[in-house]
Amino acid sequence: MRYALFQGCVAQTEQYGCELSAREVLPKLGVELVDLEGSSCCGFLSFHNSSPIGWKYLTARNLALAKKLGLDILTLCNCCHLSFCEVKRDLEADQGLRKTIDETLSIEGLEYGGGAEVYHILEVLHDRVGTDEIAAHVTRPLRNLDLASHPGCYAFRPKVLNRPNDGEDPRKLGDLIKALGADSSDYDEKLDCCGSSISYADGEPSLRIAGSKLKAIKDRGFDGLVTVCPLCFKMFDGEQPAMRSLMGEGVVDVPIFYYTQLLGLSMGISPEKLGLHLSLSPVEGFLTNV
Amino acid sequence: MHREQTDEFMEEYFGGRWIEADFISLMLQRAMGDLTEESCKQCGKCAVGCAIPIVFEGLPPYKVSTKVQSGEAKELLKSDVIWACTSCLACEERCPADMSPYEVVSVLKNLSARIGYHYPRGYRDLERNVSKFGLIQKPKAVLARSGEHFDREALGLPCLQGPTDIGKFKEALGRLSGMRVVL
Repeated sequence: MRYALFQGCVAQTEQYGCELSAREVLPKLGVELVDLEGSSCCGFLSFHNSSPIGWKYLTARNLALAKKLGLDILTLCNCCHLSFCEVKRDLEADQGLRKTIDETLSIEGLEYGGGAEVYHILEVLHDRVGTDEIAAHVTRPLRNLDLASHPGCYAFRPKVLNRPNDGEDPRKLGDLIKALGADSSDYDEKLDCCGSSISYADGEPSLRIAGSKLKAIKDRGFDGLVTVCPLCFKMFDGEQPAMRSLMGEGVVDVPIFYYTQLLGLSMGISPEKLGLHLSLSPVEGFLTNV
Repeated sequence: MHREQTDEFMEEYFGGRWIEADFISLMLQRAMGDLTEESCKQCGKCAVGCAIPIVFEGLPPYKVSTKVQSGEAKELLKSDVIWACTSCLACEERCPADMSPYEVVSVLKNLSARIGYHYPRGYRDLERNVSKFGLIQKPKAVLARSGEHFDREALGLPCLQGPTDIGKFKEALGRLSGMRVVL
């Protein structure tokens, strides 16, 4: 398997644990990653709010770059993945839009040409590599741990866009966690949003949304929260001090992990190579036990 | 109203004049089909999955659509309510009438941002950065728990350059994002 890696802005500019751990574990599972030279923001966090056609152009542009390389895209971010799927659908349905986008792409010497196919990291790990193959790579199983899976909204919504998971019952991340030897119990708040997309507009509501979810996870006795999306991780991992000052001390105190970090640990890779020294949530106790 | 007339209308709208309710309806129709009194029965299912009414004094999603229908869009366009939507899509998935409050809010956000009524600074900064160099921000040196800072190079991550010809990238993006078309 060979893909053009599309980290997305958040992983590429600050969530280095996401990219480090993906680059560390995926090649060991037979997934080769090629850098997508010349790529840019997909537009979902930027132009989506003000200029839908600007957003669609940015996404189409990245699809055109991958097409030029002759590779399909692997995305690490839920938002980027939704953006790719939505824009591909729109470009197929609206020839006028496609013509406008193609005319503009020609300024940069690019052509949409049907775009590349796009895969979410959960699809690659669960559907293409497979949980059996992952389990076969585990040398240090994660025993006696119950880890809450947080797929993140766009890993299962909207149903109309063929998401990586079932819309009502997203199970892939939980199945992948179980392949490492840990438990991943279901919980009522599993589908709840992290709130991070509105952190750019107003911090307090987003902190309350994320804090409520982390409080529930702590109250239910989970050993940590696992996600794949850099935007969700950024909120849950980095903002716990702010959540505490808003919601009370001791309310929120949960170790947060990228799935690829846990996968790497269970394969015997050092925490530092997986970017775990960059985590801001309380992961030390977990790492000592593992 | 077809495309040519729409463009004339956009001239007025970009000139700072008030947008007609009809125009908003047109934007909405492009996004999600006809929005009539029959579109939403106000059953409230959309509000069940919405985090906003719980943590913030926002409106339940269905009331956003009813306010647009009753000609109160201008008030919404100037308020924080539309920017409090996390875009989680729970409302859209739960609506038994296949009506999407999320799409309504998205159109209102677009209008509010383009008119210049209300476009939260955080989003504006992301957009400005993408226009300048292709990403929402420059790659940062991040703080680790040890108190040390690490940038991509220190972590052994490849240095990615962004758009190869930034001048052409800006030209292309500027041409489209400034385009006066409906959606």
